[in-house]
Formats: sequence, C-alpha cells, structure tokens
Amino acid sequence: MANLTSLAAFTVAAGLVVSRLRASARAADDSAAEAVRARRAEAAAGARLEERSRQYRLLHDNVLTTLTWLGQGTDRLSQEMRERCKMDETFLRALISTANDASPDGLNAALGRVASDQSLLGLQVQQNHDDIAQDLPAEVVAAVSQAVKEALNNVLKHAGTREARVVATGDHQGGVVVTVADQGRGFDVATTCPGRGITESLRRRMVEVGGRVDIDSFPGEGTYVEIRWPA
Amino acid sequence: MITVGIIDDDRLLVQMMRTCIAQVPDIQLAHSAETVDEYLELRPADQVVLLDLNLRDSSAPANNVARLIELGSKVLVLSIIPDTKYVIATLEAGAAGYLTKKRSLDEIVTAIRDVAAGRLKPSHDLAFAVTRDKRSTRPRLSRQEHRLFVYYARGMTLAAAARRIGVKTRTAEDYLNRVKKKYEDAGRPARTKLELAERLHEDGIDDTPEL
Repeated sequence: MANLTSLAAFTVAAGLVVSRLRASARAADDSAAEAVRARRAEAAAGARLEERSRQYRLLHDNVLTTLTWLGQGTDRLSQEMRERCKMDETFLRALISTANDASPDGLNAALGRVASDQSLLGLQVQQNHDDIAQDLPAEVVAAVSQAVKEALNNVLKHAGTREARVVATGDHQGGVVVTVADQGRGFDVATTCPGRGITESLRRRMVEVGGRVDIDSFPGEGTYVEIRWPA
Repeated sequence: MITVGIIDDDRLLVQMMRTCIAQVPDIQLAHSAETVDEYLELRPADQVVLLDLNLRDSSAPANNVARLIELGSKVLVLSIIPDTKYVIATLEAGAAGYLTKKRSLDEIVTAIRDVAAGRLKPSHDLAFAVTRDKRSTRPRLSRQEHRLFVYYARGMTLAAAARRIGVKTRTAEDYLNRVKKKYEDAGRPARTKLELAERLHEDGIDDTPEL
C-alpha cells in the first residue's frame, strides 16, 4: 500500500511536473513565436520605410529634374518663370542633398535660400551638405549664411566666373565647416591688402559668434573661403 | 565616332541629350531605354553608357553598372542628387565616373569624350561622396590622398588643391586615379559575390527568407 500510495503520489507529482513543463514549453513557444512575429513586423516596417524613402527620392528626382530643365530651358517659358524654377530647384536641392531630416530653420535651409537668391543674380551654386547638426544656435546659422552670401557676392563681383561651390559638413561634435569655392581668376593673398569688403565684414560676424573665416586664393586658381564654427 | 547608349526613365532628358548629341559630329546616340533590362534587349554594343542612378524599376545601381560593364561598355552615372551611398556603390562596381544632371549638356558631352578616352577625372561630386564614405569597409586613403580629396571636393581646382597640400598637380592627378582604383579594387570581391548571388537566384536556390 505504502508503495502504491507513493507510486500514486509520484504519478501525481510527475503529472504536475509534466504539465508544468508543457505549460512552460508552450509559453516558450509563444514567446518565440511572438519574437519571430515582432522581428518580422520590424523588418516589414523597415522595408516600408526603405520603400518610402525610395519613393521620396524618386519624387525629388522628378520635381528637381523638371525644375532643372525648365530653369535651363530655352523654350517659350517667360524669364520670370525660369528664374522661379531655378530658385525653387536650388532651394529644394539644398534641403534634401543627403540631409534626410533637415529642419526649415536649420543651416541646410538657410544655405538653400542663400543659394537660390544667388541663382537669381546669375550665379550657379553647386551644393553638397552632409551631417549638419540640426540644433545649431540661430545666431550661428544667421552668421554662417550671411558669410556665405558675402563670399558668393564676391565671386559674382570679382572672380569672373558664374559658378561656385558651397560645401557644408558637420563634425559630429555639433560644429560645422562651410566652404565657398570658385575656379575664377583668384588673387594674390600676400599682396592684396586686407580690409577690402571680403575680409572685414565676413570675418567680423563669424568671430562675434565664436567662429572663424580663412581665405585662400592664388592668381588663376580661384578663391577658397572656409567658414568654421566653433573657431 | 563614339557610340553612346542612354538608360534613363526621364524622357525629357533623353530627348534633350538626343537633340544635343545630334549636333556633335564625333558622338552618336545609338540606343536608349528606360531600364537596363530594356536596354540589353536592344543587343547594344555602345562604348559609353549614360546610366541614371535611380531607375524607376528599383534595380540596384551597382548591379546595373556591373551588367553594363560585362557588355564591354564604359559607364558614366548620372543623377539629380548625389546620393553618397549609391554613388559609392557604382564607383565600386567599376563605373568610369559620376556627374549630377545639374551639369550642362556641354559638360556631359565633354565627359563622354573623356570616358571613351579613359581619362575622365573624378567629378567634385564624386570626390565629395568619397570623403563622406563612413563605412567600416571603405578603402583606406593615405593622409595626403584624403586631404587632396577634401579640398578638391570642396570645389578647388586640382591645381589649387595640390598647392594647398604641397604637391605638384601631376602628383595630385595620380592621387585621384589611385583612389579611384582603390575603390574599384575594393568592389571586386563584392562583384564576384554579387554574381554568385545572382546565379543562385536564377537557379532558384536563393534561400532569402520571405517576410
């Protein structure tokens, strides 16, 4: 009897253990299935995001291409309309060139506006932006874009070329380097006296916000203006 | 006579290139198509192919370049926005160069001649993409090569960039070509892998899990 009782007790206990094991196995199955489902949902969301950004890229492509051709076009478009296209195109290009999260108050947008204003004056501005911090202080954004504007004005006035390149990159510590380069006639930095427009006002505003401006030029090899913040 | 193919789904661009090239005596626009598949069906043998970076059929840019090179063509990639990641991928796939469509048609024509003659310099936009390449697998540039690319990408002439880093213009040209070669070399094993993956896919033994 004692044996039987203990056998019964053992059976009950074994049964309990088995059902516990089964339950936890089911739970494990459930959580594994859950994890798989979650991973799939995540992958699907990632794929959707990828697809959406691809669609955006194509949309930008379409709009930009249209604006580019209309802006260059020699067809029946009015001058005013062509200029409008050119401005919109330059602005849009600045906003989206590699910056996926450009804020309308950020440096990307500010530089875009500067470049699109210049395109009205007849200067083609090629732009590349990358890794620009979106939380630069407003006065820095203002000072940098003002400096770029002056540098571009100087290209129009002195360089004898209708093209300039503006490149803006972040340094991952919240700082920024923006350069304005042309391939125009250049000047001799050693003999040209400082204080003529270019150096003075350009430098002063950047220094005021804790930045700096360096200018390099050489006869026949264009002019290069480097704007840094912080200095 | 340089024979040229153009693959772009932007009909306006194709039409404008056609009009423009018609006036150029040494270049002939032989084939045009909206996708690489369509282009290959024409059984072309063009010396230079102008390839849009982002085709609407969502084909992978690097793969497109590889397929055209296999045909014996040199590939000049064009796009409206210099999308760093994809531009770099085409460089590694062996593209001869990259230009934004913002460049004038005259510049594109000059680039076609340079590509055909094997003397196209990397564009400023291509140089910029190289300087912003942050992949851990990117080719290693020497300090001087990197400095040259930074100044050149920022819009300096090659002569100005060379002077800035203290080398002769000829040396700077060597740097440009050397870096381009580093990228082509880096892309070679990937190209082999790509071909392998393609073959597996064609054979139906691709085991990519379905979502």
